[in-house]
Amino acid sequence: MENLEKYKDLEFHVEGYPTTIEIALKLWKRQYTTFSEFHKNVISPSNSQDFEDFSKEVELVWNDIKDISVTEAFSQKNIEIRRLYFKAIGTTELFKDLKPELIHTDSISKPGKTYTEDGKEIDTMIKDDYELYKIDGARLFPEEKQEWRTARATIYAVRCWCSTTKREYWIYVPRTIGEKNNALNAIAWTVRLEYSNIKSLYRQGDVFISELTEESEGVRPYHLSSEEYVTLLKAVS
Amino acid sequence: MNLEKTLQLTPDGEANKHIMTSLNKKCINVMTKSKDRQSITFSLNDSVIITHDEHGPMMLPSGIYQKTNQVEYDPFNDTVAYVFD
Repeated sequence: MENLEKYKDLEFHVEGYPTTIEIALKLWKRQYTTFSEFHKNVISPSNSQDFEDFSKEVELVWNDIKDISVTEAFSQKNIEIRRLYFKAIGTTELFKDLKPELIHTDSISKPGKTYTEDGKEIDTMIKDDYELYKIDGARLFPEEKQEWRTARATIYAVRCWCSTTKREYWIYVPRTIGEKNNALNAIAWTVRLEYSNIKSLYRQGDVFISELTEESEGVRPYHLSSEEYVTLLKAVS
Repeated sequence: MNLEKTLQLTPDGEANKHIMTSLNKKCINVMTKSKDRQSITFSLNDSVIITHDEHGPMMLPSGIYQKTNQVEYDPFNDTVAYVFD
């Protein structure tokens, strides 16, 4: 990375927080994965020739930028930079590495629909399992002395599995939802709708499609309750 | 009414993900799209199939629908964002 020597005394801001070029590049690489995504999100919005010149140098070393780890995150003394590390590392790796506390499991099992490649509808049972996990803020930010600060730093995620691929997903939910200690309530929160009086809900991966009724009206976006989630879900793939 | 044969349900137009296709004639009427193109309201006057290279197919009968994406919380920024798999 000798070509970046001339930038080493500059301050680089990631999401508003100043850091070194070394850390900034690691965080950007984890966040954007490819150089073109980095360029699109970090360089292009600046509309600056200096940034373009910098990005040309970054492109030369992009593949050599070292990945970050949870251990490295904990070595960051600056809390805000550590927070950026945790964010860049992502839910799946963070929760797997830190052995979080399982606070609730739940599952649904209800009649639903599945479909053949040529569009034939078949009756089936929708079966999904959900697990709610927690990592105490005191583990993430042990230097915080005030209890309310560590409580606020506690993070919750719901673990679920794709019904087709069986791939595992970890999705963060707000502390106020996590504190209800209900995995089904947590997964229901991840569905945010914009119409009232929904007839049914179809799910394909990360896409939700609500079937509207004559009574449906555009409303302020709202998150589903566990009861609504279970009742409305008609098909999952 | 401008009826379409296909509708891409994700904003970046990935070729094999969440593609809605009329089973018979053109039947997809896009009513509204949000600015970020994550929310789409549409009506169908016939059945469609939605295909994806990693997920099983899904069929929708005629009706009015709204598509959106799952959301997740960002505990490090205190924001809510869409999930993309």
